[in-house]
Amino acid sequence: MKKFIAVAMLAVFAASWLGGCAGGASAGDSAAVARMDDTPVSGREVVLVVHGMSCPLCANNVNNTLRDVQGVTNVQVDMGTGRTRVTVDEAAGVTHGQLASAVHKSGFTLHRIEAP
Amino acid sequence: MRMHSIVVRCLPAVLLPLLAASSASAQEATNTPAATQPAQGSFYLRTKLQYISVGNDPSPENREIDKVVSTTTLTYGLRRDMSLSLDLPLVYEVEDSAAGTDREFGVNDLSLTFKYRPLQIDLNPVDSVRFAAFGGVEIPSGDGDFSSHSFDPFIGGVFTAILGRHGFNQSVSYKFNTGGDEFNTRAGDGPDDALRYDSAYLFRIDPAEYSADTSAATYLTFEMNGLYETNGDNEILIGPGILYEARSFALEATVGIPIVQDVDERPETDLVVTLGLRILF
Repeated sequence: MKKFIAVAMLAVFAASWLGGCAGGASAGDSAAVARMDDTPVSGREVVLVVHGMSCPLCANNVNNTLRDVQGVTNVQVDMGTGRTRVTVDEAAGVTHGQLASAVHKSGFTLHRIEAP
Repeated sequence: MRMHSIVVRCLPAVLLPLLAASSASAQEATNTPAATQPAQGSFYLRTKLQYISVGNDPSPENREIDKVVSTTTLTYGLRRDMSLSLDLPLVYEVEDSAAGTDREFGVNDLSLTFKYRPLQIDLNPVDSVRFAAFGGVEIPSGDGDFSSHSFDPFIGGVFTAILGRHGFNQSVSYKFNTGGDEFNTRAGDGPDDALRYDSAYLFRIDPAEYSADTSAATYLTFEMNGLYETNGDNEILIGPGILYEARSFALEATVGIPIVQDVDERPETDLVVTLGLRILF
Protein backbone atom coordinates (compact mmCIF):
# COMPACT_ATOMS: atom_id res chain seq x y z
CA MET A 1 0.00 0.00 0.00
CA LYS A 2 2.84 2.37 0.93
CA LYS A 3 4.67 1.63 -2.31
CA PHE A 4 1.51 2.14 -4.35
CA ILE A 5 0.83 5.53 -2.79
CA ALA A 6 4.44 6.61 -3.21
CA VAL A 7 4.54 5.61 -6.87
CA ALA A 8 1.18 7.28 -7.53
CA MET A 9 2.37 10.55 -5.98
CA LEU A 10 5.61 10.48 -7.97
CA ALA A 11 3.64 9.79 -11.15
CA VAL A 12 1.39 12.79 -10.47
CA PHE A 13 4.42 15.01 -9.92
CA ALA A 14 6.14 13.82 -13.10
CA ALA A 15 2.98 14.10 -15.18
CA SER A 16 2.35 17.63 -13.99
CA TRP A 17 5.89 18.62 -14.87
CA LEU A 18 5.66 17.13 -18.36
CA GLY A 19 2.16 18.44 -18.85
CA GLY A 20 3.25 21.91 -17.91
CA CYS A 21 6.07 21.87 -20.41
CA ALA A 22 3.88 20.66 -23.27
CA GLY A 23 0.37 21.96 -22.56
CA GLY A 24 1.38 25.47 -21.68
CA ALA A 25 3.04 26.03 -25.02
CA SER A 26 0.18 27.52 -27.04
CA ALA A 27 -0.97 29.92 -24.33
CA GLY A 28 2.62 30.79 -23.62
CA ASP A 29 3.35 31.64 -27.26
CA SER A 30 1.10 34.72 -27.40
CA ALA A 31 2.25 35.82 -23.97
CA ALA A 32 5.87 35.49 -25.03
CA VAL A 33 5.16 37.56 -28.15
CA ALA A 34 3.59 40.28 -26.01
CA ARG A 35 6.64 40.39 -23.78
CA MET A 36 8.87 41.01 -26.81
CA ASP A 37 6.74 43.89 -28.08
CA ASP A 38 8.97 46.95 -27.97
CA THR A 39 6.21 49.33 -29.06
CA PRO A 40 6.45 52.35 -26.75
CA VAL A 41 3.39 53.40 -24.81
CA SER A 42 1.61 56.12 -26.75
CA GLY A 43 0.89 59.11 -24.55
CA ARG A 44 0.85 59.02 -20.76
CA GLU A 45 -1.57 56.18 -20.20
CA VAL A 46 -2.25 52.67 -21.34
CA VAL A 47 -4.78 50.09 -20.17
CA LEU A 48 -3.84 46.48 -19.60
CA VAL A 49 -6.65 43.94 -19.29
CA VAL A 50 -5.42 41.36 -16.79
CA HIS A 51 -7.11 38.05 -16.01
CA GLY A 52 -6.95 35.90 -12.89
CA MET A 53 -6.86 38.61 -10.20
CA SER A 54 -9.29 36.84 -7.92
CA CYS A 55 -8.57 38.71 -4.69
CA PRO A 56 -7.41 42.11 -3.33
CA LEU A 57 -3.93 40.79 -2.58
CA CYS A 58 -3.66 39.57 -6.18
CA ALA A 59 -4.47 43.06 -7.44
CA ASN A 60 -1.82 44.53 -5.16
CA ASN A 61 0.70 42.03 -6.50
CA VAL A 62 0.07 43.26 -10.06
CA ASN A 63 0.12 46.86 -8.84
CA ASN A 64 3.51 46.46 -7.14
CA THR A 65 5.13 44.57 -10.01
CA LEU A 66 4.03 47.19 -12.56
CA ARG A 67 5.24 50.02 -10.33
CA ASP A 68 8.69 48.39 -10.35
CA VAL A 69 8.96 49.10 -14.08
CA GLN A 70 11.13 52.18 -14.56
CA GLY A 71 8.99 54.98 -15.93
CA VAL A 72 5.68 53.80 -14.46
CA THR A 73 4.31 56.54 -12.20
CA ASN A 74 0.87 55.22 -11.24
CA VAL A 75 -1.22 52.06 -11.45
CA GLN A 76 -4.95 51.70 -10.84
CA VAL A 77 -6.48 48.24 -10.87
CA ASP A 78 -10.22 47.64 -11.44
CA MET A 79 -10.72 44.18 -10.03
CA GLY A 80 -14.21 43.89 -11.53
CA THR A 81 -13.13 44.26 -15.16
CA GLY A 82 -9.42 43.49 -14.92
CA ARG A 83 -8.69 46.87 -16.54
CA THR A 84 -5.42 48.14 -15.14
CA ARG A 85 -4.72 51.77 -15.95
CA VAL A 86 -0.98 52.45 -16.09
CA THR A 87 0.38 55.99 -16.12
CA VAL A 88 3.91 56.45 -17.45
CA ASP A 89 6.53 59.12 -17.78
CA GLU A 90 6.57 59.65 -21.55
CA ALA A 91 10.28 60.48 -21.52
CA ALA A 92 11.12 57.08 -20.05
CA GLY A 93 10.03 55.22 -23.18
CA VAL A 94 8.18 52.42 -21.41
CA THR A 95 7.26 49.69 -23.89
CA HIS A 96 4.30 47.33 -24.11
CA GLY A 97 6.75 44.47 -23.69
CA GLN A 98 8.03 45.79 -20.38
CA LEU A 99 4.48 46.03 -19.05
CA ALA A 100 3.60 42.58 -20.38
CA SER A 101 6.70 41.15 -18.70
CA ALA A 102 5.73 42.74 -15.40
CA VAL A 103 2.25 41.19 -15.53
CA HIS A 104 3.84 37.85 -16.44
CA LYS A 105 6.23 38.07 -13.47
CA SER A 106 3.38 38.88 -11.11
CA GLY A 107 1.79 35.51 -11.95
CA PHE A 108 -1.32 36.62 -13.87
CA THR A 109 -2.41 36.69 -17.51
CA LEU A 110 -2.29 39.73 -19.77
CA HIS A 111 -5.38 39.43 -21.96
CA ARG A 112 -4.83 42.52 -24.12
CA ILE A 113 -3.47 46.05 -24.21
CA GLU A 114 -5.89 48.88 -24.94
CA ALA A 115 -5.70 52.58 -25.55
CA PRO A 116 -7.23 54.43 -22.55
CA MET B 1 -5.95 30.43 33.10
CA ARG B 2 -3.52 27.89 31.60
CA MET B 3 -4.41 28.78 28.04
CA HIS B 4 -3.88 32.46 28.83
CA SER B 5 -0.35 31.86 30.12
CA ILE B 6 0.47 29.69 27.12
CA VAL B 7 -0.58 32.43 24.71
CA VAL B 8 1.30 35.15 26.59
CA ARG B 9 4.52 33.12 26.58
CA CYS B 10 4.26 32.53 22.85
CA LEU B 11 3.47 36.11 21.87
CA PRO B 12 7.13 37.10 21.21
CA ALA B 13 7.47 34.16 18.84
CA VAL B 14 4.44 35.45 16.96
CA LEU B 15 5.26 39.15 16.94
CA LEU B 16 8.94 39.05 15.97
CA PRO B 17 8.35 37.68 12.44
CA LEU B 18 5.76 40.39 11.78
CA LEU B 19 8.49 43.04 11.91
CA ALA B 20 9.97 41.66 8.71
CA ALA B 21 8.94 42.95 5.31
CA SER B 22 6.71 40.55 3.47
CA SER B 23 4.16 40.02 0.81
CA ALA B 24 1.40 37.46 0.90
CA SER B 25 -0.46 34.62 -0.73
CA ALA B 26 -4.24 34.71 -1.23
CA GLN B 27 -7.18 32.44 -1.96
CA GLU B 28 -5.57 30.01 0.41
CA ALA B 29 -7.52 28.73 3.38
CA THR B 30 -5.83 28.48 6.74
CA ASN B 31 -4.87 24.80 6.89
CA THR B 32 -5.26 23.75 3.25
CA PRO B 33 -2.63 24.49 0.59
CA ALA B 34 -3.50 26.35 -2.63
CA ALA B 35 -1.95 26.50 -6.10
CA THR B 36 -0.88 30.10 -5.60
CA GLN B 37 2.54 31.67 -5.36
CA PRO B 38 4.13 35.06 -4.85
CA ALA B 39 5.32 37.08 -7.83
CA GLN B 40 8.78 36.32 -9.22
CA GLY B 41 11.45 37.84 -7.02
CA SER B 42 9.04 38.53 -4.16
CA PHE B 43 9.16 37.32 -0.60
CA TYR B 44 6.18 36.84 1.66
CA LEU B 45 5.83 36.07 5.30
CA ARG B 46 2.90 34.35 6.94
CA THR B 47 2.38 33.63 10.63
CA LYS B 48 -0.10 31.19 12.12
CA LEU B 49 -0.80 30.80 15.83
CA GLN B 50 -2.47 27.54 16.74
CA TYR B 51 -3.86 26.23 20.00
CA ILE B 52 -3.91 22.42 19.87
CA SER B 53 -5.36 20.16 22.53
CA VAL B 54 -4.66 16.41 22.45
CA GLY B 55 -5.76 13.64 24.76
CA ASN B 56 -6.86 10.02 25.04
CA ASP B 57 -3.20 9.01 25.00
CA PRO B 58 -2.69 5.26 24.39
CA SER B 59 0.79 5.31 25.96
CA PRO B 60 1.35 4.19 29.57
CA GLU B 61 1.90 7.87 30.52
CA ASN B 62 -1.73 8.76 29.69
CA ARG B 63 -0.79 12.33 28.77
CA GLU B 64 -3.03 15.30 28.14
CA ILE B 65 -1.32 18.06 26.25
CA ASP B 66 -2.14 21.66 25.45
CA LYS B 67 0.19 23.41 23.08
CA VAL B 68 0.52 26.70 21.28
CA VAL B 69 2.36 26.47 17.97
CA SER B 70 3.56 29.56 16.16
CA THR B 71 4.49 28.72 12.58
CA THR B 72 6.26 31.29 10.47
CA THR B 73 6.45 30.61 6.74
CA LEU B 74 8.83 32.49 4.45
CA THR B 75 8.18 32.00 0.72
CA TYR B 76 10.22 33.25 -2.23
CA GLY B 77 8.97 33.44 -5.81
CA LEU B 78 11.65 31.81 -7.96
CA ARG B 79 9.53 32.29 -11.07
CA ARG B 80 5.89 33.18 -11.63
CA ASP B 81 5.18 29.42 -11.41
CA MET B 82 7.80 28.27 -8.90
CA SER B 83 8.40 29.03 -5.27
CA LEU B 84 10.43 27.88 -2.32
CA SER B 85 9.10 27.98 1.26
CA LEU B 86 10.60 27.46 4.69
CA ASP B 87 8.41 26.77 7.73
CA LEU B 88 9.68 27.41 11.25
CA PRO B 89 7.39 26.14 14.05
CA LEU B 90 7.92 27.26 17.62
CA VAL B 91 6.01 25.41 20.34
CA TYR B 92 5.00 25.98 23.92
CA GLU B 93 3.63 22.81 25.46
CA VAL B 94 1.97 21.95 28.76
CA GLU B 95 1.82 18.22 29.43
CA ASP B 96 -0.21 16.64 32.23
CA SER B 97 0.56 13.02 33.06
CA ALA B 98 0.72 10.68 36.00
CA ALA B 99 4.19 12.07 36.69
CA GLY B 100 2.88 15.62 37.04
CA THR B 101 2.78 18.74 34.87
CA ASP B 102 5.61 19.57 32.51
CA ARG B 103 6.00 22.86 30.61
CA GLU B 104 8.41 23.17 27.71
CA PHE B 105 9.30 25.55 24.91
CA GLY B 106 10.88 24.16 21.79
CA VAL B 107 11.24 24.01 18.04
CA ASN B 108 9.45 21.43 15.92
CA ASP B 109 11.03 20.15 12.73
CA LEU B 110 11.43 22.70 9.94
CA SER B 111 9.96 22.18 6.51
CA LEU B 112 11.45 23.15 3.12
CA THR B 113 8.96 23.03 0.22
CA PHE B 114 9.39 23.52 -3.53
CA LYS B 115 6.18 24.26 -5.46
CA TYR B 116 5.72 24.20 -9.24
CA ARG B 117 2.49 25.26 -10.95
CA PRO B 118 2.35 23.77 -14.46
CA LEU B 119 -1.31 24.58 -15.02
CA GLN B 120 -2.89 28.01 -14.83
CA ILE B 121 -5.95 28.95 -16.82
CA ASP B 122 -7.16 32.49 -16.09
CA LEU B 123 -10.64 32.45 -17.57
CA ASN B 124 -11.60 36.10 -17.06
CA PRO B 125 -10.67 38.99 -14.73
CA VAL B 126 -11.56 36.94 -11.64
CA ASP B 127 -11.95 33.24 -12.44
CA SER B 128 -8.95 30.94 -12.51
CA VAL B 129 -8.17 27.21 -12.47
CA ARG B 130 -4.75 26.07 -11.33
CA PHE B 131 -2.77 22.98 -10.38
CA ALA B 132 0.52 22.85 -8.52
CA ALA B 133 2.79 20.00 -7.51
CA PHE B 134 4.97 20.32 -4.46
CA GLY B 135 7.67 18.40 -2.70
CA GLY B 136 10.25 18.88 -0.04
CA VAL B 137 11.71 17.65 3.15
CA GLU B 138 11.13 18.07 6.86
CA ILE B 139 14.42 18.97 8.48
CA PRO B 140 15.00 17.85 12.06
CA SER B 141 15.30 20.64 14.60
CA GLY B 142 17.09 18.23 16.91
CA ASP B 143 15.21 19.75 19.82
CA GLY B 144 14.55 16.80 22.14
CA ASP B 145 11.01 15.46 22.03
CA PHE B 146 9.95 18.28 19.71
CA SER B 147 11.89 16.71 16.84
CA SER B 148 11.61 13.45 14.92
CA HIS B 149 15.42 13.58 14.52
CA SER B 150 15.02 12.45 10.92
CA PHE B 151 14.86 13.94 7.43
CA ASP B 152 11.40 13.14 6.08
CA PRO B 153 10.71 13.82 2.38
CA PHE B 154 7.20 14.55 1.15
CA ILE B 155 5.44 15.06 -2.15
CA GLY B 156 2.00 16.26 -3.14
CA GLY B 157 -0.34 18.15 -5.44
CA VAL B 158 -3.02 20.80 -5.06
CA PHE B 159 -5.86 21.89 -7.32
CA THR B 160 -7.38 25.38 -6.99
CA ALA B 161 -10.43 26.78 -8.73
CA ILE B 162 -11.79 30.28 -8.23
CA LEU B 163 -15.15 30.79 -9.90
CA GLY B 164 -16.89 34.03 -9.07
CA ARG B 165 -17.51 34.17 -5.36
CA HIS B 166 -16.56 30.54 -4.86
CA GLY B 167 -13.11 29.12 -4.25
CA PHE B 168 -12.12 25.46 -4.02
CA ASN B 169 -8.83 23.90 -2.96
CA GLN B 170 -8.09 20.18 -2.94
CA SER B 171 -4.71 18.89 -1.81
CA VAL B 172 -3.11 15.49 -1.31
CA SER B 173 0.38 14.89 0.07
CA TYR B 174 2.43 11.92 1.24
CA LYS B 175 5.25 12.08 3.74
CA PHE B 176 7.86 9.36 4.03
CA ASN B 177 8.69 9.31 7.74
CA THR B 178 12.19 7.91 8.21
CA GLY B 179 12.24 8.38 11.99
CA GLY B 180 9.90 9.44 14.76
CA ASP B 181 8.81 7.96 18.07
CA GLU B 182 5.98 5.65 19.04
CA PHE B 183 3.04 7.45 20.71
CA ASN B 184 4.19 10.70 19.09
CA THR B 185 2.11 13.72 20.12
CA ARG B 186 2.53 15.41 16.73
CA ALA B 187 0.00 13.91 14.34
CA GLY B 188 1.71 12.61 11.21
CA ASP B 189 5.21 12.81 12.68
CA GLY B 190 5.54 9.30 14.06
CA PRO B 191 7.50 6.37 12.62
CA ASP B 192 4.82 5.55 10.03
CA ASP B 193 4.23 7.35 6.74
CA ALA B 194 1.49 9.98 6.57
CA LEU B 195 -1.03 10.75 3.84
CA ARG B 196 -2.72 14.15 4.17
CA TYR B 197 -5.89 14.97 2.26
CA ASP B 198 -7.25 18.48 2.59
CA SER B 199 -10.23 20.28 1.09
CA ALA B 200 -11.32 23.87 1.46
CA TYR B 201 -14.26 25.92 0.23
CA LEU B 202 -14.18 29.70 0.36
CA PHE B 203 -17.22 31.88 -0.25
CA ARG B 204 -16.80 35.63 -0.68
CA ILE B 205 -19.53 37.19 1.40
CA ASP B 206 -18.46 40.76 0.65
CA PRO B 207 -18.33 42.32 -1.86
CA ALA B 208 -20.79 40.51 -4.10
CA GLU B 209 -18.97 41.87 -7.15
CA TYR B 210 -15.51 43.37 -7.44
CA SER B 211 -15.14 46.91 -8.72
CA ALA B 212 -12.54 49.65 -9.11
CA ASP B 213 -13.29 50.69 -5.52
CA THR B 214 -12.72 47.27 -3.99
CA SER B 215 -10.16 47.52 -1.21
CA ALA B 216 -10.97 44.40 0.80
CA ALA B 217 -12.92 41.16 0.71
CA THR B 218 -14.34 38.89 3.38
CA TYR B 219 -14.67 35.14 2.94
CA LEU B 220 -16.34 32.41 4.91
CA THR B 221 -14.22 29.28 4.77
CA PHE B 222 -14.93 25.64 5.42
CA GLU B 223 -12.13 23.10 5.60
CA MET B 224 -11.88 19.35 5.91
CA ASN B 225 -8.38 18.23 6.90
CA GLY B 226 -7.62 14.52 6.94
CA LEU B 227 -4.60 12.51 8.03
CA TYR B 228 -4.12 8.80 7.36
CA GLU B 229 -1.03 7.11 8.79
CA THR B 230 0.19 3.75 7.49
CA ASN B 231 -0.15 2.24 10.97
CA GLY B 232 -3.90 2.43 10.36
CA ASP B 233 -4.65 5.65 12.24
CA ASN B 234 -7.05 8.01 10.48
CA GLU B 235 -8.31 11.39 11.66
CA ILE B 236 -10.47 14.04 9.96
CA LEU B 237 -11.04 17.54 11.28
CA ILE B 238 -13.63 19.92 9.90
CA GLY B 239 -13.86 23.58 10.62
CA PRO B 240 -15.51 26.85 9.73
CA GLY B 241 -13.42 29.93 9.44
CA ILE B 242 -13.28 33.49 8.29
CA LEU B 243 -10.75 35.31 6.14
CA TYR B 244 -10.57 39.10 5.79
CA GLU B 245 -8.29 40.23 3.01
CA ALA B 246 -7.29 43.80 2.27
CA ARG B 247 -4.86 44.87 -0.43
CA SER B 248 -1.91 44.88 1.98
CA PHE B 249 -2.78 42.36 4.68
CA ALA B 250 -5.09 39.49 5.58
CA LEU B 251 -6.48 38.16 8.86
CA GLU B 252 -7.80 34.66 9.32
CA ALA B 253 -9.36 32.51 12.03
CA THR B 254 -10.56 28.94 11.97
CA VAL B 255 -11.52 26.09 14.27
CA GLY B 256 -10.74 22.40 13.72
CA ILE B 257 -13.09 19.84 15.28
CA PRO B 258 -12.54 16.09 14.84
CA ILE B 259 -15.35 14.17 13.17
CA VAL B 260 -13.46 10.97 12.43
CA GLN B 261 -10.99 9.55 14.93
CA ASP B 262 -9.78 6.04 14.35
CA VAL B 263 -6.55 6.63 16.27
CA ASP B 264 -4.83 3.98 18.38
CA GLU B 265 -1.10 4.71 18.03
CA ARG B 266 -0.91 8.28 19.32
CA PRO B 267 -2.99 10.80 21.34
CA GLU B 268 -6.11 12.08 19.60
CA THR B 269 -6.62 15.67 18.54
CA ASP B 270 -9.41 17.24 20.60
CA LEU B 271 -9.45 20.77 19.21
CA VAL B 272 -7.44 23.10 17.00
CA VAL B 273 -7.93 26.88 16.99
CA THR B 274 -5.92 28.88 14.47
CA LEU B 275 -5.33 32.59 14.05
CA GLY B 276 -3.27 33.96 11.21
CA LEU B 277 -1.85 37.15 9.79
CA ARG B 278 -0.42 37.76 6.32
CA ILE B 279 1.22 41.06 5.48
CA LEU B 280 2.04 42.63 2.13
CA PHE B 281 4.53 45.48 1.94
